[in-house]
Amino acid sequence: MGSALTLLFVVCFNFFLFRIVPSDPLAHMLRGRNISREVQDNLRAAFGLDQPITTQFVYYLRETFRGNLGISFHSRQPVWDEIVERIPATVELLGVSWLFAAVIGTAGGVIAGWRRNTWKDRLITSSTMTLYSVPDFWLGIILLTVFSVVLGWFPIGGMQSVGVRLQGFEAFLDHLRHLFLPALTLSLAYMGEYTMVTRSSLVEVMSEDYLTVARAKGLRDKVVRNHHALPNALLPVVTLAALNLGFILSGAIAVESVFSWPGLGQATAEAIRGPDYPMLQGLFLLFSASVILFNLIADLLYMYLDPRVEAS
Amino acid sequence: MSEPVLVLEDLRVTYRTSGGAVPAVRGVSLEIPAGGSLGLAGESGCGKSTIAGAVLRLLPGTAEVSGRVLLAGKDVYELKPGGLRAVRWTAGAIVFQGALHALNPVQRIGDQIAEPMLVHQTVSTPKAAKTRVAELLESVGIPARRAAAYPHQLSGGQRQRVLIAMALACDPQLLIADEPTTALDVMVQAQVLELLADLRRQRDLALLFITHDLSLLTTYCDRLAIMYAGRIVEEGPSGDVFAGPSHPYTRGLAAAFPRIGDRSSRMAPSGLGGDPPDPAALPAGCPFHPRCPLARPECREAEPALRISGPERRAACILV
Repeated sequence: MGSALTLLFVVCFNFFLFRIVPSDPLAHMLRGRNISREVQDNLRAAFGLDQPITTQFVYYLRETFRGNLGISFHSRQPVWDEIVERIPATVELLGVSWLFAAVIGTAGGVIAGWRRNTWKDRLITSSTMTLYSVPDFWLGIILLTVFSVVLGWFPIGGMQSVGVRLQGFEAFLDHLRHLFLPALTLSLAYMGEYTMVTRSSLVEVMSEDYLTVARAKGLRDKVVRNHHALPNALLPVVTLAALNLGFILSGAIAVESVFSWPGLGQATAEAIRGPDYPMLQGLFLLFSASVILFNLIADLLYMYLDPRVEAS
Repeated sequence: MSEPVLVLEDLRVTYRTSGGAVPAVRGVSLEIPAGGSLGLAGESGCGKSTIAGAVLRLLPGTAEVSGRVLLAGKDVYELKPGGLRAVRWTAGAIVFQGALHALNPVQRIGDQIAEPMLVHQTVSTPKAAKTRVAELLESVGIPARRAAAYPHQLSGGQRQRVLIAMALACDPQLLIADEPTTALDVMVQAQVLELLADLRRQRDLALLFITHDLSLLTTYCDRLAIMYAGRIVEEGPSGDVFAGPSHPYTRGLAAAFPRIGDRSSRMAPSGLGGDPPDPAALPAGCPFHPRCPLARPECREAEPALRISGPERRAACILV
């Protein structure tokens, strides 16, 4: 119920958000070409831009609830088709990065937290924090420069090699080579979040009495960590991972642009340049819906994992 | 006489902190015979809980320990990690304070009780462990079906009983009870203490009972040791110590409990003035002298050693 209300609010908010931008979508559509006044007016009428903003809003609401996201100003294709076409690329890149960031980041946090103030802790904490504080597109550009431009180990962008026809396993390998750098960039950039949350949560749990009890029982250090400390310490990390899963669809605007990865992030960057109102509205609606959905999933998951949280 | 279950010889514990070394325990020697019981009393910060942790070598890395701890004849601080794990919970087990977070919140209590049995292989199968968990829970007055409950589903008194059941899991020779009833209301406190006393009689358990409540100790322990500023200041059979304290500090502690039916003690409760000293900056001489009603000039000079103050009694005061 709460989630549905949030979504309704997002739908309304989306409409006005993009219309605050002081820019004429028509100018972009025409790309500076000299077109007669009459044609311009026709175009305006065709997209409903001649109507008062309140009327536009009513149309927008009605059509959105019918499942019609409109026609992109830019491509003149239905927004929904444009979006669906780009979902697989984004889910693949962000999904792989999410998995690596979560698994490696959490493992780093466990090592750092359990052996606090040792050289391992310092090494892990400082390196993941450095990567986390660096802008992701900048990290992407550096990796691209080093590994693609200078060393030539990886392609400089896109999802597959252009101009050659590869099949079967070779095509798959070629695809992996394209995926590697953008996925590495995003994994490195977001690992730090998991490391810091895991570390601080573990450090907090380590001062709990039940860990002293576990040690007093004669358990091995590893058993104390894995059976008593981690099931408690990882609760907030699981929530974080589930929440971040909601951002998978929204793609990575900057990194996708750096690597010319044809996903939703790149589509967003293009649509902002318009501004392509229907496309932006469609994209943001999808992003919000996915974040809200995964928030809900995170709550349900927490209820399942933590016996203290009863269903309300 | 059989070998004592626990012997502390000149135990000293110093915590290294950023503000310098803080001596928490400054030379404590004591003995508990098999099946015997000793009550350790004192105000907060006197080092009594540090002793509980020191017996099973559970103190944090910042604690420096010297002296000897002999638990069931084994020198705890000479043991290798494997040997240490083997003594923990089988020779000596601790009943922690249940109101704090002594139970793992995301594990069922039955599993937490069964865990040490499986680790120390005192039972051969998980099924046998389950049977034993049921017995233990029944013996502390909790229905066996509650084994599937999580700690938050139990009351404070029940959690304390679970901690007792857990401590008994591997049939230890010594039970260390560290303020086991502090956060419980008086009725529940009495039930838990009766339970401990019963179990002790049935199983011939030795008990080290740590609390700030002197009146509890006289009822439940054979002997009493009073701690002040990291040292034992008085020791002896509990009834004698409570009824006729030798050390002015014990006298102050005992007087802090009003006697029922005695009007004068109710109208004028005579506690101790002042606060316990900061372990990082102890006064020179006898650490109790700033609060002592009988202090003399020479009390400022040297810290008195424990000496005989009666049959089986010792006290550390120049006046005895």
